[in-house]
Amino acid sequence: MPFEPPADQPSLAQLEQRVVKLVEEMESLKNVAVAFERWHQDMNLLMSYSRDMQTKSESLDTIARQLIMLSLNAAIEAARAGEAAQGFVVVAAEVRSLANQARTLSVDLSKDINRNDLTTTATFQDIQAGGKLMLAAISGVESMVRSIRAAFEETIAQ
Amino acid sequence: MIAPQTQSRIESLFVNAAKTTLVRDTAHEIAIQSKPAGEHAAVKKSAIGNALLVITISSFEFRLLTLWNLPDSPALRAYYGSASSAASAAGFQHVIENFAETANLCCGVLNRSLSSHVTHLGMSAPYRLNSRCAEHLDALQPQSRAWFGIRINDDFNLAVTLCLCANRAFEFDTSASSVEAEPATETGALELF
Repeated sequence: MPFEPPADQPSLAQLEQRVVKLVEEMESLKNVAVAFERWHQDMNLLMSYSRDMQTKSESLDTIARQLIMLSLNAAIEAARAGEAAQGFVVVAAEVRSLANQARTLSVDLSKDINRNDLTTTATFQDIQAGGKLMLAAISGVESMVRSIRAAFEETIAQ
Repeated sequence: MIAPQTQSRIESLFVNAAKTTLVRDTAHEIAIQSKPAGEHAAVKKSAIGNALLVITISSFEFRLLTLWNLPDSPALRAYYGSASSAASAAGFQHVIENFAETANLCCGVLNRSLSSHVTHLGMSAPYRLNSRCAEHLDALQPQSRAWFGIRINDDFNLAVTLCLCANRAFEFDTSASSVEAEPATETGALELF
């Protein structure tokens, strides 16, 4: 004699419909992979911006180093010129001080970019790995739900 | 927050994965040495300006970053590159791409080994960073770090950092049923395989 649920409980057919709906939902959840692909593209874009910033930071560092050399040469030339060029000695010292500050800033900027790259990459990779973890979990649940559905179909067919 | 036996188990699983996957032939020699933090600073400094690859293994409870520092050398190029990997920047890029597959394989084995302790795990794709990024690991607030120096065929070196980050305490189930029979690696010991 086939199993008959109590009157206040859903029928087997209703339960089967819910299981079918669950299978569809699980299938739909696997589309999260599309979102991961989008995040991957965003990550690549972020890293390319970062590379651009790193290149600019290196250029800034080169300019600062050249300015330091230039101000040093200016100070030497001003010293050679004697008393009349004392004003230039002061200007050269100021330029050198500014160039040193620019150099310090460019080094700090480069460090900040590297720290940012590591944090961004670690975060993105965590999301990427977490996504794979979730996809595997979804596939596991989907497999279980499919086997429940098959059991329902078999029970109803009897 | 992370039990010492859990930490040493992860390190041991990494060493086991590395010794089987980083060599191109099983007859090749691989020496893996766990490095104290001070010594690692020298390894890290020598590798600056070269390549850093990062691969992350994540679970709900923790994430494990593996950072592979590759110093550019003719021996490393010859081992992981191809005949066309000449001494050019493009050649080294090709070597890094090849090595990324090797590192990916190693982390895949580690991932599988970890799955005997952790139910849900996922692994990222490799990503290349400026090697100076490794100086900022503190920004990730890791719970533990381990450093390894790897020498292949007594010919060239690699440096690997394992960085374990977790928001709360966790511990592996190290019961007999969950742990496969593998030899533990002693910290600081030089192993030749």
